[in-house]
Amino acid sequence: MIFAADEIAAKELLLSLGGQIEELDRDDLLLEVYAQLGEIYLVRTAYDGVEACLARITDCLATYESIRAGTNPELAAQVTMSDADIDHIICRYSRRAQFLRTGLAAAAHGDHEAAEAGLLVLTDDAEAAFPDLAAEHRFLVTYARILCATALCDDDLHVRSVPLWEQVIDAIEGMADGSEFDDFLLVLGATGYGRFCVETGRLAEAEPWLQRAGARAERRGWKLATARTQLERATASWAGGDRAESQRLVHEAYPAIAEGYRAHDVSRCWLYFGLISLSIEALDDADERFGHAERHWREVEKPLHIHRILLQRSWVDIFRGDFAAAAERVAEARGLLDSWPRRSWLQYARLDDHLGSIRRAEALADPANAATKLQQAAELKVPAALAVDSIRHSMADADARMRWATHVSARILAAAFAVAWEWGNTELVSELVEYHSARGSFSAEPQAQTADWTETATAAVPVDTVDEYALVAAGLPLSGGAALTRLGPLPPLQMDPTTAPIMNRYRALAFERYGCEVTAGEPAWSTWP
Amino acid sequence: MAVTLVLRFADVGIATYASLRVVGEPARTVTWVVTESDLVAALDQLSRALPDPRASETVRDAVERAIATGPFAAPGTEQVIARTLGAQLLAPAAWQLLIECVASPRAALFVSPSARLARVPWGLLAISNDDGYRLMELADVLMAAPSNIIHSARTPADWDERRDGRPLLILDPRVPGQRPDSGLGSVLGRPSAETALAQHFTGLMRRRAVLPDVKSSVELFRRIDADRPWLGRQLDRQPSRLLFVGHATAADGDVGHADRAALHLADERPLTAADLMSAKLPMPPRIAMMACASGGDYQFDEATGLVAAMVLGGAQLVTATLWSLPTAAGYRQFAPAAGDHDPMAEAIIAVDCAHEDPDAGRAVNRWQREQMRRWRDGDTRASPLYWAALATFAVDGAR
Repeated sequence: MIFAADEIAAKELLLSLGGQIEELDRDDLLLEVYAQLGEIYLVRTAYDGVEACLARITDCLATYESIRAGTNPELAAQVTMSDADIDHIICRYSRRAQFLRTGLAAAAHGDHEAAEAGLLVLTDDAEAAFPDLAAEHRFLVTYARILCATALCDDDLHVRSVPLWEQVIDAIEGMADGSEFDDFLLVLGATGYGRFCVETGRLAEAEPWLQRAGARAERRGWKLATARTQLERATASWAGGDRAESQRLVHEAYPAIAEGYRAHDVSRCWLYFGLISLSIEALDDADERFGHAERHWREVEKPLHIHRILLQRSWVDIFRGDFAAAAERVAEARGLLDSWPRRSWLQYARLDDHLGSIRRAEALADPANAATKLQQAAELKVPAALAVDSIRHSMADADARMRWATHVSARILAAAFAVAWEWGNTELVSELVEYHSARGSFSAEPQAQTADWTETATAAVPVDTVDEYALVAAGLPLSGGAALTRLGPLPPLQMDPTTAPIMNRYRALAFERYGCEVTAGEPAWSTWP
Repeated sequence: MAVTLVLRFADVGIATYASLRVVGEPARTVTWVVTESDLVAALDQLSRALPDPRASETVRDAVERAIATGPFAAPGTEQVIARTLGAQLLAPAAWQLLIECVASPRAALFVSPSARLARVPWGLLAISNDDGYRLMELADVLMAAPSNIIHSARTPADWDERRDGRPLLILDPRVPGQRPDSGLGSVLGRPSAETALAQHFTGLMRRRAVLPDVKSSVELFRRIDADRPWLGRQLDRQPSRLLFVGHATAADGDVGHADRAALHLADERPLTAADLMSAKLPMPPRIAMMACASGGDYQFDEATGLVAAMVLGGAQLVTATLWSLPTAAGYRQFAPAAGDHDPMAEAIIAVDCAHEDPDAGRAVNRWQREQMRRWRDGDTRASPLYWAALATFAVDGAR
């Protein structure tokens, strides 16, 4: 039932067994009940329930451990089990408890360091005395890795999830076609990895994993799991620009996801419903749908996702011409980011770019004050564009650069050009053109560009930087003997013998706001021939 | 001192931004936007004119279309496309600034096109008014190398020090395993001392020694020993310049790996831009690559193709072709009125002579203007498929 996500029935059954088990005085069965209940609460984001189950398991195990340690002779006299049986119980349920602890740290608290430590304890628990528990151990380790990796992705920490996904993929690829346990991991792992691929801009790689997970889930009759693969395929379709397919899939997926009460996925469904409404300019519908998404995310306290949905909702305000409301939502989104310990400069760069979009929309709506508003928009967009574009050039791999351009930098850079152009600032336009061509040309730039409003909540985060983004941005230029591309920031560019290096002020702002050294500390390059 | 102008394009998503400026007078800068629809229309027109295959065309179909029926087949249709491109890609204010900069000596206009505009023959573009001036009449048109290439660690070879040295001539090297009429077969046909090209090089050899060491010019053609080690040895002899006539392969793939663009020597494997880099071959100050689309660097993500590799290797001036030049045999097949005229040889000779000039880039422009005027006056043997294909990249003050 748990595999089929029929958790309500599973929970009732487990609770109903409680009485009988107590009558039989079978602690081993009671431990199994709590372990399974804990798992149910974990996947349904009922984290208090997980804590309660963990406490019961821990208490019970502590008792047995004291018996084995010889510190509890009174109880030891009552126990009918052999020492070996007791050790078996301790080994088995310590692992199950460790699995719950790891999952709780990752999913509930976003405490990825604690989750990593917990996972290490679980992985290192190589007690070989009970070969009959080896398969279960392997199952728990892979399951916990999937939970940890998924939680990292939830917090935009895709880079850190890569080694975990590699281990998960190794595990599920090596599985013989067979047990329900294997299929469960395959479906969960392939779905999670598929999502990771979509969010990091590898749509083609995502597709076969999601198809495979969907087919297996369907064969098993696991409705929620099938629906979750549909939701991920819907996000891939959206990212690939196929709105009709995205709409079909998300509608198909929603009932099972709502029934399964997966708060995060329910919110994601509402996000896509809202995007689809926005795409046909049904603003009231979009607002209502985004509102549902926001409410569910607030329930599970996902600051990053609340932040994103606020930005998304502000597009509705912009389309309604209510710029004050849009700015207010953006301010709230900024506050959330400020108070979230895992924020990154990239999220701020995207936020500033978005605020710049609001200023630009204001300018278009109010020609009398357009110049001021466009100047403000440029102050926001140009530094953000320089920061994200400098990262593109920190990437040694050409394919990685392309992904970063497609999913992050190209749109923001294009918006900076547009604002400079609309502002009528010839100097800034020519400087941006100069900056752009100093790098060489951008032929592989994505040519069909998505509208701004489609990006905010679905922002993908390519994982191609091995280090933290901020560190890469500040890194020294790499110089390789045979490398043809200069990596890392360029020196200041001086485009005319009579003028100073270009975009000084915007470069300084980029550093101030994002800590990104968009300029290398070298003598300026002259860029006239 | 001649005026220097800089024309740059930047593709950013759905719009292409452009700037034209006068070095030393930033207040005169002009900027404009080329819309996506204008850009696509311009590129589509251009691709109908060029001998590179479109969609399902074979190479033969493409050459036939370009010579016999495309916009470059006759002066009338060529003038239309020159004006259309001129209006689509350059704003009226840009033309105005160019006209204001007309002077003697001619202004030098450096172009750095965006990737998608890589194959545009800028000099051919015409203003849409009664004068119909071509860009090449208003200024000498040169290509700018990307700043990241220019400012890389490199040791430029100086023309003034090498000018009396021996030119290295690599003419139609024989790619192993290729029959003369196959895809990578001969571009100049059977070597003979009687051809215009052989006679041109005989004349050159009377004036100065050349590389490789040959007794007669006919030995320069279709060599089977011109492989990588051979090239390395020849370059070590510090030639004054290099002329390569043969096959080149553009880098392919969606992502754009310009360092995979390659020249075909008498070698099993083509010599890629990346190979040139890693072998650190010392390049002479001037290079002409009369090859298939060898100047198409800007088509690729980051201009790191053959031209960039050569600049990094020490070259200061590189003349290359923007598209595949039809061979003499191909030209005669589809232009029956041409008789025994060989426009390919004519272009090679012109570039070879221009590269002996103190200002090689300007000399190439002079020849292009002469050809354009012959063509405009109705001489269809001066086909733009040859003269408009030439683009000269210049760095370090070379013109």
